[in-house]
Amino acid sequence: MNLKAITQGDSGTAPVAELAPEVAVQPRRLVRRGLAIAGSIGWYLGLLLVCAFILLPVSWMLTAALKPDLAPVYTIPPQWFPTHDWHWDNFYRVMVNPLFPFLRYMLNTLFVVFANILGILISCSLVAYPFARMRFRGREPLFYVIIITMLIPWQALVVPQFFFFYHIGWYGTYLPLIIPSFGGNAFFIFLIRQYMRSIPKELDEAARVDGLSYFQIYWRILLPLCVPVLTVCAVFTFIWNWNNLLGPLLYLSNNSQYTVAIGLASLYQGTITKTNMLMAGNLLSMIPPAIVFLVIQKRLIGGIATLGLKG
Amino acid sequence: MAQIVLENVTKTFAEGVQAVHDLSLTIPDGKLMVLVGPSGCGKTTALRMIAGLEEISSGRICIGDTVVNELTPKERDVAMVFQNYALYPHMTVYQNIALSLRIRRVPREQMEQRVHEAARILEIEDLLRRRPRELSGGQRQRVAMGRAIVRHPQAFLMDEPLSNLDAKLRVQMRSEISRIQQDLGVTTLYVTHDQTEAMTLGHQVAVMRNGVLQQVGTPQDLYRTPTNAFVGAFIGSPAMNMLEATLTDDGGRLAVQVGSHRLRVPHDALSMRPALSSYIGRRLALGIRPEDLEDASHVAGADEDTILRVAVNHHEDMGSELILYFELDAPPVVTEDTRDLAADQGAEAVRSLERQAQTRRTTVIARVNTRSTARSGDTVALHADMHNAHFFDLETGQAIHGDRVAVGTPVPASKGT
Repeated sequence: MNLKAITQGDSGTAPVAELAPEVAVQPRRLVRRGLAIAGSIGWYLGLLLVCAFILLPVSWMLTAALKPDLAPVYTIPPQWFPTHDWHWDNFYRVMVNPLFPFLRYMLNTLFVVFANILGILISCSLVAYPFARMRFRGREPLFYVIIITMLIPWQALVVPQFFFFYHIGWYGTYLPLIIPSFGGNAFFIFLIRQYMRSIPKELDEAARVDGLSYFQIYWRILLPLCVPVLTVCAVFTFIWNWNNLLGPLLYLSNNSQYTVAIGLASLYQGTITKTNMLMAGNLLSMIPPAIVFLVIQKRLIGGIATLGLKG
Repeated sequence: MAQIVLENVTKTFAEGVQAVHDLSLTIPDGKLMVLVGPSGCGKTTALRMIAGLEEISSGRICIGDTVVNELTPKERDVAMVFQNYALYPHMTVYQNIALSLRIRRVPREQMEQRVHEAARILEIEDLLRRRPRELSGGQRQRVAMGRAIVRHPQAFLMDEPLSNLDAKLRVQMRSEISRIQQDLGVTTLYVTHDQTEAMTLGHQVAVMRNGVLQQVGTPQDLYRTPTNAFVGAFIGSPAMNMLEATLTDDGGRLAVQVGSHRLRVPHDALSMRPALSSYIGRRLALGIRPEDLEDASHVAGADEDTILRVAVNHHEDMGSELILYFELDAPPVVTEDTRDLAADQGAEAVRSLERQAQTRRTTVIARVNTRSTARSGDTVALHADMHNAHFFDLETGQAIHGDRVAVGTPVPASKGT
């Protein structure tokens, strides 16, 4: 079709006259396209470089995890993936070790993590709601008190909290690791309150006129609209609890209760540490958070963007 | 359905601002009342107090036979349409409309039937599965109406429901709202700042200014017998021309001197407004609506005493109407009323008013017969229909009536075709 149009001329004009500007434009267009391609190649190369830099420690871990027992790990220069050792069975061995019930630890951790997420989401959104939406005496001072609790370092509370939980008989149970999350978290309360304030107040008013109670407004209107911020809170809670070592170490007494973090810590045995096992366990423990990230990546980034929150 | 009564209702905000002052108003059962006024006049606050979204500082609000001062919005059983629609973004249109019924535990079948009925009235049945963000402005507006209709409430409260629509759609939805309100016969309070909307929609129109009710009446009442200069200038489009004038008596013949022009005041004007006689020899505010100024060549038997000879500065021919702009050598009326109204139209209007007051020349608007040949630059004879002229006190802005019975319709001079 095009060829015909060019050679014959659509409207009867001389074909040469139509061709001439085409030829003149082409080199410039080619240069521009070439530049664009070169630009994106450069961009992706840069991204790959950053990616490789971030993955460097992981590659070292993988190399170490694939080595046979007692093979030197801390070599200089360090060995990067891939090397000549391919002991994939190390991953299997670390999972079935009777002294180190890795799957058990995983389940325990997931239980603690999800109980915490539940606690955080319920308590923080419930506390944030009146701070965002209701007018009551002392609202502002009370809110500042909550914000100020963010300044108290966690470590300062460890000893009194331990005594408290010990005396009410919660030592050796998961309760001290879970119940506090149902008491709220200042940072998340702050985040959710800010987010709720960005939701138009007319929605609440329309709901009140529609006959909804305050709780129904929270439950049916605000909570569904807060999903982005709740996702952020849930993911942060997941990561914090997944990595939490001190809490489980303090309160859990029985090997069958241990979380992954303690399990990994217990694999470290000074000079007789099997580094390949330690690294294999570490890599395995990274899988669940990675899956969580992959699944809700889009939501999470959206949520973080709307909150103006980084890191 | 029920009537709504406001008795001496006052709203003072925590910061000491009095938004509504001693408002008494009755919205008869099944009628549509429009509460109109410039922005910040307290009309929305009044509406929100009726809805229960705003506490009442003093006074009493009754819906039907019940005093609702202490009741929650839910217990008041009124439905509200918000300016920005306030649709729940995470719910479908169906869920939006049905929510209030679900909360009231209406049986499922009945709920479905009622939602579909409301959707049918509003012609949005095919939108029920969509979410608000997938709808156009007009469709959202309909859904907001649907949410109100479905409840069969005691009253509708509408807070500038059309102000977010474009002009064409606004006219269409205006007549829809009027039709639906009449079909359903639900008592309705409609708040707007647009006087055209107020005049076309309301059975009754209440004009508010700075939290104070100025006048309540039918659109015709407000148009023909405004109680003060504010209502006079606010109602009607284009707005009433307001000029400073002096009332004179030439041996029994009453006239107003407007700058260098003299307009005879008919006898019946005096008999209808006995108080006018006390203004003889004094300055007052003369109000003439643009439609009461007509090209004299189109008025049969136009009296020479009521003719203004003016040079047209500017004309606007809109086909259906012809608007002429010209200047008179009399100062405009500058009172708190006219200043407020100008301020509502923007800074330029205030500057223009001040400029006119300084130069003591007022731009006057006439809406004349479309067959008139008057154009920019022409000198034209305009007949002022002084039967329909309005007189206000310059100090108080109050209309000069003398008695409150003076509501009769004056006979207009017959206009030629």
